[in-house]
Amino acid sequence: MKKGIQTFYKSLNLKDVPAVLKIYILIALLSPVLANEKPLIIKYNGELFFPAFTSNAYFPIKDSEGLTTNERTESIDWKNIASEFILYAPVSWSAGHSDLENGNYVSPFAKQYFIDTNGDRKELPFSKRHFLGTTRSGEDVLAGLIQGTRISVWIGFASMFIAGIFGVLIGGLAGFLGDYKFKVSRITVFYFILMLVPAWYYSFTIQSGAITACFSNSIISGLLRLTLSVILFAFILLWPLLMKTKFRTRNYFTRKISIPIDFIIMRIIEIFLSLPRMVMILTIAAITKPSVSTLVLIIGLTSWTDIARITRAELLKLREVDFINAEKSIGLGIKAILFKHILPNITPVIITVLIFGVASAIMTETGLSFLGIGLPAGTVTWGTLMFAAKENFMAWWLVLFPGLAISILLISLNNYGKRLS
Amino acid sequence: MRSYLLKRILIFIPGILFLVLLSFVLLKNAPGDPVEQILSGQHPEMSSSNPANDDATLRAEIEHRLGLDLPLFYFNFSDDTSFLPHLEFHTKNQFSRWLFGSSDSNGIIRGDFGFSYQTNVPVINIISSKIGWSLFFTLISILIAYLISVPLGLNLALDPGSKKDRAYSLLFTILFSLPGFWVAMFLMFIFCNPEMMNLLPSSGVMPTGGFDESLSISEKFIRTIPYLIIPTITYTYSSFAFLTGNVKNSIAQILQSDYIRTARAKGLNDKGILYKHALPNALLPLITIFSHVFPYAIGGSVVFETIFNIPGMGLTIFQSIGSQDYPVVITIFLFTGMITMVGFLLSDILYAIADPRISFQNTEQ
Repeated sequence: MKKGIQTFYKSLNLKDVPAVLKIYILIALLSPVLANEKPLIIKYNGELFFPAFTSNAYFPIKDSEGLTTNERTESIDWKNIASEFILYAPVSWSAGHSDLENGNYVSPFAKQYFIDTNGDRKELPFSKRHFLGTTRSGEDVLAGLIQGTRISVWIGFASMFIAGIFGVLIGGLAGFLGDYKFKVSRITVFYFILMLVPAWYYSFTIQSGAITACFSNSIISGLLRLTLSVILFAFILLWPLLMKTKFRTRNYFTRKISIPIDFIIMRIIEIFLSLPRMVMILTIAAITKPSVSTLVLIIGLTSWTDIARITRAELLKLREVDFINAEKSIGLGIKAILFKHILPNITPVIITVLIFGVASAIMTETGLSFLGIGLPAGTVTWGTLMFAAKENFMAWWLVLFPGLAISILLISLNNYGKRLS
Repeated sequence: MRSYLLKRILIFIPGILFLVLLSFVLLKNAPGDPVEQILSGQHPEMSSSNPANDDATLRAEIEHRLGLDLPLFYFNFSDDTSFLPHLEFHTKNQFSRWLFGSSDSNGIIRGDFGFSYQTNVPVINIISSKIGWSLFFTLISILIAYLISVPLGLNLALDPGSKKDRAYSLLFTILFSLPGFWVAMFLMFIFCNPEMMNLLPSSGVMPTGGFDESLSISEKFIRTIPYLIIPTITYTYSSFAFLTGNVKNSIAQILQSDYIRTARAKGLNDKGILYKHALPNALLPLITIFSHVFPYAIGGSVVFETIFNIPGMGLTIFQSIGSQDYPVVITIFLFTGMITMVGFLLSDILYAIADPRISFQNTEQ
């Protein structure tokens, strides 16, 4: 068993991940440290502070007369603080915060200004420049790109994680059980059909108030609560399967019939495939409350079909392979076969599909945020930056840089996927 | 063959049912109160129809006209919370009214999709005035993409593994990865920019203010062409890389099969093999690829139509989402879903007719 898990990890083959992809993931993870208008470290009046790592914190500011006032770290003009030591993030601007002195589309090469403590308008020092220009309201493009990386990478990978779990489970069920392997007695089927409505009533209708309360609290707790209800629902319906009842008499009700699981799942997948995915995601995203986690769920739950189909096809292929039959014949347990041979064999294929899926999820996300749908207002992403360029074609930096950021990521993902396949 | 067709059509029905149910669920879960939206005075002729009535009566009247006073579905659990579920059945409900119609409405099955909250125009009129441009760009771009990618894919499949093939496949990965809307913005930046090359108009499909009445149809057509160039290029672009890759793979696979080797062994020249044996078989899967390209094109049209201000369904759904006009949004969703499903069905049936092996395999399973 342990050895089986080791082979499974080895088959993941994480060493080959291209450097570009690693850099993107690193930027996504480190984005608050890479672009922040709050300094990382500041020594002020002999005390050390770390404003970038706090939120909603207060900072004691001493004015010329020696009085200290506590001010919110978000509202301080850090560039004009007389400190003993100050260390900024590489990009000393936050995404979505406007710099009024450099508003109205400042080009990366144009002169950029700031107002110092005496009220004079001076040119920005090189290290604090807007390296990739600004938008109309003076938001830094590079900071926006860095935050956009975080959002895109998160949405891409998280939604494919969800899609992967769903796809592998459903496709695995179809491929493993097939049309004839899953046999239950007729009475269980009748029980299932009869209990559908009561099970729905006990696990969802009665508890709908509690579920909505959890969802209004936070989406994670809502999901956990919903999962609980789903488990209850499944348990009420499926407990006869857990008990290995042996019927003494054989009659119409106790005779076993095979359920065509594969057939049912494939038809469901076909229905899903023939829906227009982009328009469906767009419509659902427009109707639900905009948030990143909702978007992850929507994209994840609409793109599991490819993964399910591939998993099923791989399982069907493996079922015919000789070594699996040989193992069955020497009496190896189903667990050992699953972890030692089936999983390591299908993971590379699934990972390839997932990599392409991440690319297409990121493409969907940027398309949606380009239209301004699905993400809360004010979130800066690659798509919103590019949409800002539509108002003013003179601002070439708004077209070029977000486009390059998306394209390089997608090229590296697609190329990686292609190399794996 | 007949059993395959029957099976295929039988799958089509639950698909449509699922789509209709999903649309209904989405419509009912849309934020905002429809009565409130109608009352908020976007169209005074509706709210001032009965000036004597006070707000509550008007509200009740609108609710009744929209059928909102009916129960939601054919059955529901009764409200009194008890330990035993109690089902209530309704023959008159919002779903059946929406789908099949009632005494005062026709239902979507007879083409009544309700009224737009914003303009109070029947949604079906909005759709029928917009669907033309969407289908025009989608279909013409797919046609052009096929015309380019079949010869190109054929050319590349002839010597797989060569330098040219590898260079092209890298190029196609790059082309496939560039988001269509970025390419669109870039083309507009170059060709519609007064600072760069001010060659083509940047938005719309005809001059602002429309055409002169005196112009003939051919004249109108010629005047429209500059507006169509960049949209057509971007629409084509998004399906072209995918198609070429598929054509190439499909031909390369066929060229390795046994009957090609046999044909070569009996002395046919390369050209004869390619055009007589490989191509017809390789082109068959392209029928099904159409059904994969089509939903993408329809979905992509939302972004492209927004960029280019093309008065099609994509721009309409975008604007309706902005103004919370959900009957229009849901109807466009339903329409695109129907179109793609029918496209899938037709391409599957055509494929089965063109390649009898398919129907045989599917009935065997």
